[in-house]
Amino acid sequence: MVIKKALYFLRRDFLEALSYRFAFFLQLGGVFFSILTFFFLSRLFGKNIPLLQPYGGNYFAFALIGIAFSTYLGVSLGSFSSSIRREQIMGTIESILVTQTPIPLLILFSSLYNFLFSSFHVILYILIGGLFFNVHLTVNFIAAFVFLFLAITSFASVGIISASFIMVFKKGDPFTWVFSTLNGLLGGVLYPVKVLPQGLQKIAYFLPTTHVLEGMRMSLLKGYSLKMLMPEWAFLVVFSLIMLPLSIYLFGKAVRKAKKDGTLIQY
Amino acid sequence: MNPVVCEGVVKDYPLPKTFKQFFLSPFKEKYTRALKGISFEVGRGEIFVLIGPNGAGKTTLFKIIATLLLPDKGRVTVNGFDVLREENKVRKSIGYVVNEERSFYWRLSGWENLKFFGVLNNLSGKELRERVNQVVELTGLEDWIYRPVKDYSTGLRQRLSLARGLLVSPSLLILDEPTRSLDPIMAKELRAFVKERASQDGLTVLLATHNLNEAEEMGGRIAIIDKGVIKKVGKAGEIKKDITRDKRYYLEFSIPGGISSLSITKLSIIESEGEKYRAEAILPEEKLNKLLRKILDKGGKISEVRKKELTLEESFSRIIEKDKGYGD
Repeated sequence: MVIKKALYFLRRDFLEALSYRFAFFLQLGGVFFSILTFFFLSRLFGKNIPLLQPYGGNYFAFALIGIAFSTYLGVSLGSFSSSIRREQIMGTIESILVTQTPIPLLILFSSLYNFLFSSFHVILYILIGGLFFNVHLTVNFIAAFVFLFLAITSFASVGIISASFIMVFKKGDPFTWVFSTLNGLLGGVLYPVKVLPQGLQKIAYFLPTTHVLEGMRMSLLKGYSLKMLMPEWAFLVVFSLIMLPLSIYLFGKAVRKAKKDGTLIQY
Repeated sequence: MNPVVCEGVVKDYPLPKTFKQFFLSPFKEKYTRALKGISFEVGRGEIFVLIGPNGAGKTTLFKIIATLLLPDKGRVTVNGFDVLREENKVRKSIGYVVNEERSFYWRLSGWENLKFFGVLNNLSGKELRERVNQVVELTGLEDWIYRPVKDYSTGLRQRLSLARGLLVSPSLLILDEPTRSLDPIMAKELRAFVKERASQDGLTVLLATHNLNEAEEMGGRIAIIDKGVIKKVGKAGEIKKDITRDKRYYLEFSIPGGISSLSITKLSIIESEGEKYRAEAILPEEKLNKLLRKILDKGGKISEVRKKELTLEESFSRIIEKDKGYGD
């Protein structure tokens, strides 16, 4: 039944997205043009950049994976809170909360489509990069899959905490702002963490994005195994084990507060 | 065990803070009391109508019963399950028809919407299809069900809302102003439908309305609620009879010097000709006697006094107005 519910959420969101046909196809076009921008940008730097040697030396390949997987971060941070906000604005939140589906599942499934669509984007980024822009990939599929899973669990926990803020304060979530700014700046999306000053490198070490991107780059560009990437995945496992239950607990508290204050449908 | 039991339910809403309060005392909350100790019980197969003006607390009470709001004090059980501690079990037995036409995914068809909400209520496969078909047929939505909800009229959306409420074969149906946006014919059909379900299937119904005729037509007990307090519970006839000792009287009389010499404000004059008057008054019997004596004392003559029944609407207004100090 749980899988059926997940599939029905996917079906609902897919049908809704498809009903806005122009926007649906425009999003796909956006992927291609974003890749093109970074392809031309990479020509500025040339090949064999010393700081990028661990990743193969090619800036375009480095940036491509950084951008592709940072979309996961964006979706994870924004998707849960935007799903709640969307249900509040549409007026459907009470209708789904009065059903027999537990709240954690409702919040998880509401974001499923966005995660799936982002995965599709990531595949598209890598496919276009590999097929049209000569990005050389040496993929360790198992390692890449594990890092993808850990990226979702780590980022999702942060996203659920953000959704808890939205449930209580409706707007102005400081957590997402701080987290996304720090990750964009220090997480190694467009440049390696090693270019940062020592002090900032230490802060970067505590961000999940740093480890997700390192693991993804090494498993996709250099074919590193899970054994070789143990420090990265170990950090993400610990991060997820602490943050995921905490985020679900906080979200439950937030829903309870909204029910107590009578602000469940307010936005 | 009655399907719905409310005992001393209190609900406070936090008041919005001013900028000054936000900065000077950010953690100090002020509250407004929406429900002030509501108690009642509803039996199986009973139709219980809550009637009251805007802001009386009807929707707040229904949301507490539907587990969408938490009470601050008191206890509410649905089929013996506590809304605070056993909300999942409560939700299994209720159908909540929300008074919000935007409570659907407008770009999906009615069919897709019903299937989606059916799955969230643990229906699947053949059972899901059969239930959706049943409620579509019951609510007469066959011709519209495959069209996007955005193309529906307000009345059709209300019917779809009722169909969704009936999907889980609930033992308790909560209807929050279900006929507010319906035309009179459709509203009558809906009322007939709900009454039939209650009498045939033993469905317990909680219904909130502004419409006094609707409350009377449902035939069940009526609770008059105002400012978070239930003022009176009873059948329409009992409310009209018991709540207020006021009666409506039709009078024909004449008085030398005209009506101004009586110095009363209780009369509403229907027609006057010189010193002759035809008037109506809504007041208790003892006050009528005082009025008649006053007319006679002033040298007037009374040619007719006739008692008329108050309508439910008049009784309702008297109850609400009494609280505002207008009644006596």
